[in-house]
This record gives sequence, C-alpha cells and structure tokens, in this order.
Amino acid sequence: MTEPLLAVSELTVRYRRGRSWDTALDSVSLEIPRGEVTAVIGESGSGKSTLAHSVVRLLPGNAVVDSGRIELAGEPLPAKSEREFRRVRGRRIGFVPQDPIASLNPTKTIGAQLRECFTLTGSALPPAAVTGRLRQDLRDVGFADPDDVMRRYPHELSGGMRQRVLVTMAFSKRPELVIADEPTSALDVLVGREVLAAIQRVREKHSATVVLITHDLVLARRHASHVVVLQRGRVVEAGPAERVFTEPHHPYTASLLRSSARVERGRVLSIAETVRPRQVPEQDRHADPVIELTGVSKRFGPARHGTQAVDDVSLSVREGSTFALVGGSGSGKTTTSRIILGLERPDRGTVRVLGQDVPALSRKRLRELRRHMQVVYQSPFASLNPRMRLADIIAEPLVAYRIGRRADRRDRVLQLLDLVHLPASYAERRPGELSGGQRQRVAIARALALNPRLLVLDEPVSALDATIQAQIMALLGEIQTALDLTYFLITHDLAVVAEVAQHVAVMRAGRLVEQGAAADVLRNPAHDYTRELLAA
Amino acid sequence: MTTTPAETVARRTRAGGLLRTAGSRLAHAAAVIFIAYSATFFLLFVLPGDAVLARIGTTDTIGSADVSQLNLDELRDEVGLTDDLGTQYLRGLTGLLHGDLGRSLVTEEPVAGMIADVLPSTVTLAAVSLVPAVPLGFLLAVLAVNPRSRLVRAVASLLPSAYVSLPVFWVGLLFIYLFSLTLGWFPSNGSEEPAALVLPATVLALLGAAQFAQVLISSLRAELGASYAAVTAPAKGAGRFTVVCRHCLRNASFPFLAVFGLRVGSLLGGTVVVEMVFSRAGLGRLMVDAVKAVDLTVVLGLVVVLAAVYVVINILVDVGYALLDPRLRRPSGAGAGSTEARP
Repeated sequence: MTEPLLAVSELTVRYRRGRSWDTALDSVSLEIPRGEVTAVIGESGSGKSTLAHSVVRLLPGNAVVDSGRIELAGEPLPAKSEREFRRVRGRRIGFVPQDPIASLNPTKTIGAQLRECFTLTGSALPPAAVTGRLRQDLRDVGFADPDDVMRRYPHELSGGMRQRVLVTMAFSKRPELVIADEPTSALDVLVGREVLAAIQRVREKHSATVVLITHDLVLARRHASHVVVLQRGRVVEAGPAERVFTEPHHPYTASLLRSSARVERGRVLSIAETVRPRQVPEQDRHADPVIELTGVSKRFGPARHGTQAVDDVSLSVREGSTFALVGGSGSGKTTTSRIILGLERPDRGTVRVLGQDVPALSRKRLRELRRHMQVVYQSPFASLNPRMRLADIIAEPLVAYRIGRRADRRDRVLQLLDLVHLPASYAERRPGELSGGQRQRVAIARALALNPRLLVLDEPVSALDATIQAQIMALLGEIQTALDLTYFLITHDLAVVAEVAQHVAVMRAGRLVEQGAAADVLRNPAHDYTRELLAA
Repeated sequence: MTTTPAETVARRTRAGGLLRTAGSRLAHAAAVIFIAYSATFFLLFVLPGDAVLARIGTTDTIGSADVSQLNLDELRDEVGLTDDLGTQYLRGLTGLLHGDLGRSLVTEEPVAGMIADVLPSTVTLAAVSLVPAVPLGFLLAVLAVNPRSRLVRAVASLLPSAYVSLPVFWVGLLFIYLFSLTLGWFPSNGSEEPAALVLPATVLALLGAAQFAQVLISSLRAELGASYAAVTAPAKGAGRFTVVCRHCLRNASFPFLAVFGLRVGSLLGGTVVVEMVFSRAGLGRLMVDAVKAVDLTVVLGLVVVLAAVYVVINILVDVGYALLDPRLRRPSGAGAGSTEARP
C-alpha cells in the first residue's frame, strides 16, 4: 500500500455525562488510503460519528480528546490553535453532514451559502469565476439549472437536493479528503442512491479521497473499496472491502454480516433473493378484510395549486396478514394511513376498517374503533415523552380508556415489557436511558396495550441501524404470530418488506402503480418504478 | 423584460393575496379596538363610585363650596351619567366613530387634548430608551455565546436575568440617589428639559436590553446547536464569530421580534412606575389618575389609543417576520421539483 492520506493513531475521545465519562473512541488507530472510498461501519454508539467529527475537530462541547495524533498527507494536523485548524477545514478536508434538512441555513439562499465556501477561506478567485465554478459543480451533482438552485432558499428544495448542495459545498474547494457522515440515512432509498452517485462522480472527477461513515452494509459493500469496522469505540477490523466481506477475521464483523439479510458471502443480494414471507394460515384466507379502501382520493390545498395526495386508491388487507404500502416521500402513503386511522377525511371513496365505515363514524365511535387499531411511529426519539417513566408511557392507553385498576395496569405493563423482550426493571426508566431500538420496543408495547387487532406501522425501522432494523422486524413478526395481528406497514424501503409482507402495494404521486402478492411483485415487478426501487 | 404568463398570474395572485391580507388585517384591527373599548366600558361600570363622587372627594376641583348644598344628581345629569348604560355606551361609540374621544368627566377638558399633552413625553422616553436597548441587548447576547473566556460568557448571560429581577422603582430610586442627589449630574425629575430624560431612559433602556438579551441568548444557543451552524458552516472554514454573526443572529431574532413588539407596547402604556419615580408626565400616569378618579371618558380614550398602538406594532412585527424569514415570504411547494434532474 502507498502512503495513506489520513493516519489516525491512538485516538481516545471521551464525553462528559454529568459526573461520569463515556469513552467514545478507545485508542483508535487507522489509515485511510489515498484516492479511494473507505467505509467506516458499525452500529450506533460504536463511535463512528465521533471519529468523523474528531478529524475535522467539530466535536460537541462536552467531548474531550485525551490523546491521539491525526496526520493528513504525512503532516500532523495542528493540535492546538483553532485559527490554524480553520485553514484545514473546507480547504483540505470537506465534510458532508448527516441531516440535510437542518444543515443549511434556512434564511440564506443556496447561492450565498455556496459562495461562502470561497469567501470564508479567502479565495483569490474573482466573484464571477466563483459563480462559474459553482455552476459547473452543481451540474456535476445533477442539477439541470444551477442558477435557479442558487437563487432558492433551502426550504424550496427537497431533502435529496439539499444533500447534493451539501456535497457541492464539501467538494467546492477541491479538498484532498471528504468525510461523509451517514449522508443518506435521512433520505429515501432512491434519493439516497442519487446522492451517493453524485458523491462518486465528483470524487472521481476531482480524484479526492472519501471516508463514508455508515451503518448500512449494502451501501458499504457497493461503494467502498476499503472497510474499517468499529465496535464500541475500538477498531475491530480493517482491510479491503472484498476481503472483509468475504472472510471476516473478527467475530463481531461476522455477526454484523450475518445480521444483514442482504449481504451474503461478500455479495449484495437483490431484494428478490431475500423474499421469504411468512405463510398466513389457510383458514384466514377467506376472512373479511380488515381494511378495505375503494376509490379513495384526497386533495390538499386550493383546486389549482394544491396536490393530489391520494388518487383513486383501492386496496384490501386480509386478517392476520402484513400489507406493505411502499413509496418515496411525498408519494401519499402517510396520507393513506391517516385516512385509515380516521385522522383525515377522504374527498371520495369508501374506507372500511374492521367492518366500520370510518369517515361516517361519530367522534365517540371512532374513539371506540381506535382501541382496535394502534400506530407505531417512525421516530422512537420523538414519539416518547422524555419526562415519563416507561411504565407510564406503556400504560397511557389503558389510562385513556379507563381500563383496569392501578395494580392491573402495572401487571399489564410488565406483561407487555416481556412481550417486547425488555426486562421488567425497565418499567422505572425513562426514554433517555434507552437506545433507539429499545425505544421502538417501548413504542410497540404501548401500541399493544389495548389488545388491538390492527397495527399501523409507519416506517417503524427507518430511523434505526441496519442490525437493529432486523431485530425489530423479527420481533414484529413474532408478535404477529403470537397475537394474530394484522399489520399495515408503511415504508420507503422494499428491503424491509421482503421478509415480512404477504402483500405489497407500490405508491407513487398518490397512485398505486402496482400491487399484488409480495413474492410476485418483488420477483417479477411489472412497473418501472418498482424495478427502480428494487435496484436500490 | 419579458414575463411568462405563469409569472404574470403568480404576480397577480400575489397582489390579490396582499390586498386580501391587508383587508383582513384592518378588520382585525377594528375588532380589537372595538372589543377593548367595550370590555373597558362595562368593566368600569362594575367599579363602585363614579366621577362625580370622586370629584367631591378631591377638594381642589370643588373648591371650598359646601358639599351638602350640591345636588349630586344634577351634577351627574350635567356630564351624562344619569342616562342608562346602553345610551351612554352608544354615545361613546358614535363619538369614537367620528374620531371624538369626548371630554373628561372631571376637568371637562377634551380627552384627545389631554392625551396629546402627555404623548410627546411618553414617546420620547420610549424612543430614547429603545435606541440603545436593541444594540445593547444584541451585544450582551453575542458576549454570552461567542467569547472563548468562560467567565465573560457566564457574566454576560447572568447579567440580564439579574437586572430583570430587580424592581424598577428600586433601580430608579438608586439612580436618583447616585446620579442626582450624590453626584448631581442629572436632574431627578420633570418632563421638560432634555437632561431630565437621561435617568428614566437609562433605567428603561437597561431593562429593555436585559429582556432582549434573555430571549436572544436562549434562541442563539438553540441556533448554534443546529447542524448548519454547528457543522456545515465550520466545515466550510468559518470561525465562531462568523457563525454567530452571519448565520445565527438573524435566525435567532425571530423570538426577539415578538419581545420587541411587547416591549414597545409596554413602554407606551405601562411605564407608570418610572413616571412616578421621576415625576414625569406620561400616558401611564394619566391612566392611573383617570382610573382613580373614575374618569370614564379619559380611561376609554387611553384604552382606544393603546389598543390602536398594539395593533400597529403587531402588524409591524409581522412585516418584520416576513422580511427576516424567506419561509414566510416564499412558502415551499411552488415548483420545488422543477430543478430536479436525474443524472
């Protein structure tokens, strides 16, 4: 191997939490080869983001770098002076942040924020040349009309467009190294793929080195030639991607690879290859549908400028099965679920859930119906009140419907915790002490408190790490069998669908473009959009 | 310059929208003033006593005349207090529509004139105290988040809360004792000479600055924690000061605007304590005197004026929001997808 571009040695970083210290990185040493893409993989909490932020020295205030040395192209990065280090950021190291929505200043135009890359670093280029270069850079990441983009404000762009703007920023000064911290985890699969393609294109054009921080093994396998595996702040394995994925040396790497259904013996499986839906028992086949939508439409906003969120959607969900509604953001899948839950009134069409005509129900009857249909939301971080104990969170639906006495509720909470495989001692804890996966378990327990017949799962795993995703989906499958539940699953990721759903409907711009048995849709997609999603 | 039909339509609908917004604003303003007037009118009637009784209680308006010889009902009749409630209410309202605020029940001076007499003193005090309060508030807020020295930051973020919790009259008395009685730099009272403005304006300016700094500090901290300021800008090579001034200050000033509006309102109508301490004429003091004398027309006149002021301030604050925040000026959705291109 030639001399590495970035060499980190014995780096230890700790976070102060109240009186105690958490070690995020424990004497980490690694080398990033020049001119290639290196993926740093690991679960959340493994310290991979801390590593990324340490290199550009943008650690939060409670972080302390205890020891360590970081060398860029053979020379050590200035250790002390912030002023000196600023000369490195932007010019020699670019950074693509995780959350494109919060990472652009909402009150400045894209053009102003892009031009700042040059003014802040004291570029000698005249303003006209800067604009010309930015125009070309924006074209490189896939914007057809760069001038229009530069005039816009961030809120006028989609998440994927904002992330491509951030990619442009990171590469604008032609740095030797660009660090991308989970650049696609906040995006839809298709949009994420475009962003990564853009990164790859500009990387090759400017022959830069890229460090890709990710929890997604499929992403790492596809885009990186080199892999570093982190576990709890330590590097457990590093090497060429080919080798690490085919013959992992460390048992942790091996278990990480096993947890992903889509990476097998160093190869990324297509989604079709991973289809193994649970068989629904035969006697349920002719049962009445739990959900039945016929010709449902819903429009938002004024007649001319509004959007047709849901356009003539008909579907039917059989009892005891899992129905997956798949589509990108803005496809109308969330609106559809809100119509089913009675939170939104359709303009046209009939909605029958558990035998009831939902839009016609009185408030009181709807409340009765909601006992039998519960929701698990996407973000386990926003959907649990941080000030409440888990016992109170889980018992809340029982309190709301005045079910049982205090002691009964307590028993039910313990029973539910057991059902989602959390220890009973967790009842006294608060959400802040839990990981994302554990929080989602709590959200599931809460949804099950009333013994519902139908669960609406709104992107239940998309905010979680790949390994945790697999665990939560397995748990959901187990609970479905045990309690004979019907699932209505909303997701943008067909990979999630493959393992659990019997029925799949693909939605785009408010319309169902394709639906059918999961195995058929995933193996022989009829619509181009489905094929595109499957290729992601 | 050429415009596409779509642009023309967009502009026309925008102009129509503007008219509609202005119209609904005006209706809203009228409603606020009407409701404030009516509520005050009926509330005042619940109070015991009336202007005539209050007048008798104060010897200076009656002189040395023998109280027992006065016919109270005759006096009441003179100022129109014997009419039934509805008639009085309607009379007042009709006057209001004609721009006539009526006459004081006590001194029989026109209310508009009484307000006009004290308004300059109040407005000057408010303006002179606001002008330094805004930059001082921003300065304190920047000092509370930007300097490397932890001590400077701590002091700058503690000062505002400390000052806000001091009672205004106490600070006022302290200032008089220090700068007027002991050092003799500025006069302690009066509303005529400019020098008399210094002490009350300083007390109020410091209070304003402290209030502004409090909201700005908390919103600046929130903005600095947002990814665009914590990661994106520094990653481009921006220093802390650049991030604070060029990126965060503007976004942090939305809550400041709301507080600024409230502050202007309270400076115009609620500085009675300062006016008392420094023996100044002003709207707040006029209001307190009028309420004490149950001088219905003066109180109502003041309420109408202050309600109008609040309405105007609110409109200005909203315009300020729209100027500062492009998300309000240009709501998303309008052609957001048109530049999307598949490579």
